[in-house]
Amino acid sequence: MVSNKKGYTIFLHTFMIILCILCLIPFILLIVVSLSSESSLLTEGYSFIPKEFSTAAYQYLFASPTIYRAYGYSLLVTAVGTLASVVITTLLAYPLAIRELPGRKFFNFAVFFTMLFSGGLVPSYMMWTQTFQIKNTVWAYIIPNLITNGFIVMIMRTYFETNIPKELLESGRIDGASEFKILLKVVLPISLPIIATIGLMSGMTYWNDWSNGLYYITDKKLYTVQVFLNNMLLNAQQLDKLSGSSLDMNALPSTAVRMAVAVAGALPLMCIYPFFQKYFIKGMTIGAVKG
Amino acid sequence: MKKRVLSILLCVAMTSALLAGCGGTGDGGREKGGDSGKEVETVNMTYFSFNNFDDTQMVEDAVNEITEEKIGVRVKLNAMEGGQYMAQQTMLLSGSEDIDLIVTPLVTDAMNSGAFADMSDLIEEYGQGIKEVLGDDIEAGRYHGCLYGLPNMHEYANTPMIVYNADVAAELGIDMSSVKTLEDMDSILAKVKEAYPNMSTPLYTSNSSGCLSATYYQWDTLGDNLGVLMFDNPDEIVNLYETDEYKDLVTTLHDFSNKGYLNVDAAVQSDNYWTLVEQNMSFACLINQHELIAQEYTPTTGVNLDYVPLGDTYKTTSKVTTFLWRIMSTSQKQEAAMKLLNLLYTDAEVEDLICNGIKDVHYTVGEDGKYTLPEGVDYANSTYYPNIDWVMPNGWLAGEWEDSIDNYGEKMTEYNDSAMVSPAYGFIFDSTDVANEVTACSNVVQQYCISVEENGEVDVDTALEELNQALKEAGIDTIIAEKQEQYDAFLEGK
Repeated sequence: MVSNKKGYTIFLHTFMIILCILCLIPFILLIVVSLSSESSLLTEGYSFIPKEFSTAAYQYLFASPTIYRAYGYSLLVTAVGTLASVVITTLLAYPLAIRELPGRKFFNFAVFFTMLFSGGLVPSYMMWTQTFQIKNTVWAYIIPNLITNGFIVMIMRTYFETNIPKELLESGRIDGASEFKILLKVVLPISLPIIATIGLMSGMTYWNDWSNGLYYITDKKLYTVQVFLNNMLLNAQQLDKLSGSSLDMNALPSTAVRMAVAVAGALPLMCIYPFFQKYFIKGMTIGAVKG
Repeated sequence: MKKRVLSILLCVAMTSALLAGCGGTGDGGREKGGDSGKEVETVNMTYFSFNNFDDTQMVEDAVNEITEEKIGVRVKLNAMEGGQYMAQQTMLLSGSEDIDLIVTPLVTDAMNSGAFADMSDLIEEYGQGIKEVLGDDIEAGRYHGCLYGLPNMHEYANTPMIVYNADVAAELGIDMSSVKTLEDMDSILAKVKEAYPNMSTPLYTSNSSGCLSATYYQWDTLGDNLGVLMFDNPDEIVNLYETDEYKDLVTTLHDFSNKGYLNVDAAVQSDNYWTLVEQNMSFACLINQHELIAQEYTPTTGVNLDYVPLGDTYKTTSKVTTFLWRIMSTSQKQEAAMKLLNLLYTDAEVEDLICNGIKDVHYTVGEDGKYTLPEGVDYANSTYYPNIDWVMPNGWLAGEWEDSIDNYGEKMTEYNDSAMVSPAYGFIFDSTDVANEVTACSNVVQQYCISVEENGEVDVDTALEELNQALKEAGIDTIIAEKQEQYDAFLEGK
């Protein structure tokens, strides 16, 4: 029995280690390629040990003012967006968790519905650009992402439902606190884990978002790191399709540069991640529907 | 009963759509134009660039000085990054944007939905210059009887050819002028392979982004290779993948593949020939191009390139309509847009400003009259080097750069005029009724082509049979029947 359990543990660990390596390998390759010289990439192909070490790609990248501005926008959008998104998600999820809310079923359904269906690209585009006029403003990064994910609202609602004792709310009411005050003074202080989780999740969404930039931002000065990278890749792809049309490729960024931008985009998140990891795991288990 | 009513309603809706004919001839625009006689209208012109265009505002101001004086129209230059432009195309053409003038590929979907204005009348009134410049090719963008777009000035024909590294050929004593067919390359490639055993791709065919048969062909692809026209059989649309021509091509390529002449990693390789030849990883390339391509890429790659033709030069619809300039049907300033377009086709000064920027700011002129970047500026950090002479209506009017070919426009015009005209020139296939089949068949081709065309390990007959079976199931016969019907009507109308 005991040896059986041990075998199981060994199997599980090996499996997880292999899985872990499989996840890491592409990333390591990405970093190595970004540090290889362009000519060695073409003649030797990709390899895990750089044939010719070179930081040319990073020098090229950080020589242009574009990348610093892009970092600035990425940080700004992530900070403002995460804050706003957490506030709005909380304000939506909390009432949904209160059983006495009139029309609760309807509102729940409204949130749930967006998890299954979306408005489609062209209608959303028309709404955001014509009604909300967010094209080529920094709001284009922030507003469409505020509560695009019904899943996050559901996680938070479930947390409020299961982790906040009803008696706590009632005691607040007896003491004459307003609903808003109850949320602020009673509920939020004991909900920090879920807020950290939601913050991390939407922070990642904001940092990694490139699609809003693709559709609503055409002004190069407003690019974030991800949009910068994505446009670079799209250009390369399109140029390849058109190759042979009378255009020259002098300004086309090389493979190494593209990899370097990818590293530049991923690095900040990787630095932050370990500090938030515990909340993240907790949030995931909270997410499972209980009770 | 309900069903019957519904079907009648549908019938009515569909026939009325048919009767409607050319969408958006822009009467609204006319009326407005008449009222505000002297007010200067600003035309929003949307196009794309893959390079640098940060100083577009500066250029726009300079352009406006000229246009306002000459035609009483101002322009808003709306340049977008190329990749982004292609991704946003559907939305740009949805009519929700404030766009008057735009450049797009053929996009039959958007033409069907009435995104563009019919230019037939506008061009008579304001487009005399365009008529002179384009001549008969003005008709290439005519679709269902409406003139939905005007081709820009570029190469209108192409030649199946082999582009090769002339330095290597000279070094190995290879006489490329003896090459008349693809089979003749056999011994030559063997020689190259022997001399450069590390060369990964002696003969470049295609990379992961597409099939060889989409870039190298000796027939009229009619846009997508699903139902093609062989030049020796000008009345019948045939299934390319069942023809002897295709089988011969594939057989030769399989032989080459087995001998190691082709790229073994074609399915994952993303580099193109020009990058590979620069690093001497490739010797020759199989491609349909215009005759100046080798000369054009010589300075870019730093390799002395040359070419041998493998077939006749043909002018086809798909080549002429690579990019079309359109007036949006939602535009309220269609007349102004047409005036501007006319100027862009004929006025060297305006064209030069948009393509190259402002003299002594974005470029300097050498003694020979050719442009160079100012000192200390390179292609990557220039604030205006959009490199869009191949997108603009008439880029040949713009000034020439130091490494470009002398009198490019004249040479290209000569080449265009020398080409044979495909019997299907002017035919644009409306795939509305077979849209599902077209999607399915394109997917099949995309999935099979690299292995069918370039993987020598597979038996040719088995591979072709498999491909054709899959295509049949995806409905290629329906597409060909529909194409044939439309083509017959086209021939009759001619």
